[in-house]
Amino acid sequence: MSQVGVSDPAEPVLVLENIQHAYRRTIAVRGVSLTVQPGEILAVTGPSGCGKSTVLHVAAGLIRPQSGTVRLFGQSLTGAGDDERARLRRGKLSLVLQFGQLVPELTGVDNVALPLLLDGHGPTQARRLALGWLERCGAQELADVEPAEMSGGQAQRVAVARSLITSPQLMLADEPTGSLDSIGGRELLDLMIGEARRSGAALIVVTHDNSVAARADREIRLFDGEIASEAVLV
Amino acid sequence: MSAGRRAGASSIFWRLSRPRSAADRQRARRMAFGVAGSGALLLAALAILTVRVGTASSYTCDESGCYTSFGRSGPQDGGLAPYVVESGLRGGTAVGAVLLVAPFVLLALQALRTGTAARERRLAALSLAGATRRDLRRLAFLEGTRAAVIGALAAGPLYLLLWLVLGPALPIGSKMLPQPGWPILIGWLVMVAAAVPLGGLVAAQAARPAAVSPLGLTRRRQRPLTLAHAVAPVISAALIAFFLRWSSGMGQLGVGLAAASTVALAISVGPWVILFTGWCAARRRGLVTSMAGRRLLADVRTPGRVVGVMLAVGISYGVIAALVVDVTQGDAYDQMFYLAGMAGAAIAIAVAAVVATFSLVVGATEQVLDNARSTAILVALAASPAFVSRIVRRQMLLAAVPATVLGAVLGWIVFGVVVIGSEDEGVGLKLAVALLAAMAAAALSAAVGALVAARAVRPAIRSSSGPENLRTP
Repeated sequence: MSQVGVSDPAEPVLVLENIQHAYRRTIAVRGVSLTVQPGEILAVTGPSGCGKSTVLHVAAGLIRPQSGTVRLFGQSLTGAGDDERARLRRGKLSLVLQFGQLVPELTGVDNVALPLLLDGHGPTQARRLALGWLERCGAQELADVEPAEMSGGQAQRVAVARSLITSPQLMLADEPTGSLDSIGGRELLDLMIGEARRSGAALIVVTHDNSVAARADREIRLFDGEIASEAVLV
Repeated sequence: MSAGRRAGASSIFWRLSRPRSAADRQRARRMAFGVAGSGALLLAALAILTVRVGTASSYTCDESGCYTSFGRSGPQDGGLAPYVVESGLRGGTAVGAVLLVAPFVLLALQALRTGTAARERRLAALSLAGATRRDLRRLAFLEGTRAAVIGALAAGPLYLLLWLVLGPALPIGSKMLPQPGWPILIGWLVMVAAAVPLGGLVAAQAARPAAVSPLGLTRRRQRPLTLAHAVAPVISAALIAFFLRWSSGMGQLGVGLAAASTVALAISVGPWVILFTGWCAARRRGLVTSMAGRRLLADVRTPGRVVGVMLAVGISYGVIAALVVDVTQGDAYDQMFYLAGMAGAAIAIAVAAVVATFSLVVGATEQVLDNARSTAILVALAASPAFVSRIVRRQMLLAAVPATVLGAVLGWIVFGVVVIGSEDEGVGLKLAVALLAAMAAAALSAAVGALVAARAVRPAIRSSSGPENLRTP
């Protein structure tokens, strides 16, 4: 249902060119350019307030940058409306945040099935697929549990299952392990990286955790809104 | 998209449209109450307009007092007041009932616009999962339809209650509502049927001012007052003076235009009254008053709209108080005829004041939700949610009470001093008492409305005070 067309396998999934964005008088991102290839795992690191999350939110189409261009799957996001950006989030692109991302009134299985239900899939088929993804993410016991009764790690697993159900070509994660303990964080990262490798999806992880960054193919380090360094890790 | 496919999203939206948290339920109840109140008043207007001519009485007065043509043995379905029976007055009474609908509609609309922290989290999470603005409007449509239908269904029993109070409970000759008949039943059914699309469409429209993204909900920022806001009250005042000066030449048109200019003045001066009140309060030493004043200054336009209504309410109190002085100078017939009507009007204005003040809830709730993090920090550091409630209560009292009392004084000056005082000598003491009564009634009704409204903001304060809001970006 996505309005964005099928992308060329050789084409970068994401291209940011000279992105600049400010919150009132504070410049969060200045002149950031980066390209992400299909299947690539990229870590965006840096100290607090360096603009990591802003870069991710620009890439996800949540923020319209004040200048610069964003190309997702070969198409410019500049002219895309809010609805088209929302459709992207239930199609080729998925987003995992640190917390607050499950609909509190829905059970685990309905939360995972939500992008499919919004896209017009039948409830039976959507819930069957959702149960399958919950099982792959090791969270099948959460199918009938509401988010308020889940631990932080459990809620993140459900969120990851939801981000995978649409078989996205680009996964964006903003501090996905930030609210978890080290073991829970490692398990969640194993799950995300494993699924990205298996499906060939690109994954961008914003983190200030070096152990998370070490598992990426490439690391971009931001400082004061600019790319301070870039390293190929694999 | 097939019907089966559409059913998936519809079932989810239908489930989400049901209020789950206590705050959501309270919001839904307020919406339904607003619809029920306005529905019952519309049914009352319908009942008045469909009174069969010649079935009821009118006053007759002689030396022994006033009585109706049905006398002491009148039929049970008669005994209606002349305001309802006489063809020249019936239309005006029905219009009065319809005008009273406005505060209830305002209440329903404001309740619609009021968010709750849980609802905002739900909308953000839905947006993250890929819900478009159209999807979210669909959800708002269902929420509005649900509340409107419940409210419209409740309007029938509420009308019956209103009829019991304004019909059988009143003495013969002063009953305001006739016995319910077919027109009321048909009107009620039409209202319930109309509630489905109307409630939904209005709710979907009310959802537009807020932009939802996975990062949260962003409301349109209140713009500061502009030059047009400064000029509007001056022009309105000049127009009132012009039309009053030349109304003798223009007849009813002049009076109507002067009244319209007065309404424009009341609306346009509202934000300035709030600005002045907030400025004065912000400079007070007391922490609660000072913080309440600063909160008023942060958004003068939203409460400013309510101030317009409160000024009008106050003016009405002032005019009624002065009219009472005038009527008590007249004969027994005048007193019997006018005083009952004025008492009814005063009660109606009091209801309008309470309901209109209650609509301050929206602005205050949005302010609390927008500043959830600072509220949570305040509570985490030292203050209790009760302290934040006190600030909001003071904020609402500051917004409502001065404007209503000012209106009462203005109404009293114009009608009491200029009109009555210039014609009748020796009414000075009575007019002074009337002023005090008008100010007290205005302050009391505004204060009751503000206190009820402050209670309604408590759930938002509680949900914004929790530690989970400390990590809100």
